[in-house]
Amino acid sequence: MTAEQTTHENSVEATDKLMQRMQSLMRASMDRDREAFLSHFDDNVVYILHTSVRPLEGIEWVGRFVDRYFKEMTDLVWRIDRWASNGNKLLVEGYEEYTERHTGKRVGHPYMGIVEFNDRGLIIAMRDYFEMDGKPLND
Amino acid sequence: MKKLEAIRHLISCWERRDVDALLDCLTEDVEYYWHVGSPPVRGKDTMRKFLQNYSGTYEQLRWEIFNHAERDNLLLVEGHEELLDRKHDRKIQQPFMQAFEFEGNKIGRWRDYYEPENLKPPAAEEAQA
Repeated sequence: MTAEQTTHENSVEATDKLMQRMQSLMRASMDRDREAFLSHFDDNVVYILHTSVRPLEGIEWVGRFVDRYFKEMTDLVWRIDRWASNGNKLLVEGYEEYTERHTGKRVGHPYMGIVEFNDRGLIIAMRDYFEMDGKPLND
Repeated sequence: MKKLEAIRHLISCWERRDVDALLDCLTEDVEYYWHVGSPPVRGKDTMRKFLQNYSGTYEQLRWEIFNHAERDNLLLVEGHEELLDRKHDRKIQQPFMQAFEFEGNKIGRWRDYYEPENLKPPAAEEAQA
């Protein structure tokens, strides 16, 4: 798909609507509410959490991922600093930081991501871009 | 000029290896974060040196944008680049996202997000080098 094919400037309201869905997902994550978290995804979601690892295909796989995430990551910071949308796609720039429970290591991920929603407002695709071995920004 | 067109123009300048034209797309005090978490390249003169160094290490074979969105002075893009690592004579496939902040028609801030590990040569090759 080329950029020309996707050109569509969203209204502020359309962008806000997608961003509200994303903020709802983030709240569920911070609350470690598995059911609420997964309710934001289509059953057939494909989540590429990092470009070097296998995509998570389907909501059950995403569920297994989030179980591990909630168990292993503590003192989570997850924020979106900048965002824009185009059609059903929300592109974001932000920062994630957490402590790995089993190592005690603090990890920081400045990141960008793209989230694609279907007509029901559910996430059908999500891709994140960051350095896996990232350091907290204040180090 | 629309922001995406401005980036397409910047890409075409780079494809022609027209560094002066590329630098003309940037503000005088541009900040370029080639790696978010490391100090940025600041200003056109430093950017010129950065591009010289970059060109000595890599030849950028492709620079494509698949998705984009803009809001106010911000343009966010998702794309893919193919690089030739000159020293190790190998091609690197690099998916990426980028954030551009515009001041008028010029780019004032530019941040790249990707996996730097992809740029490292395979360990065996590095050990033999």
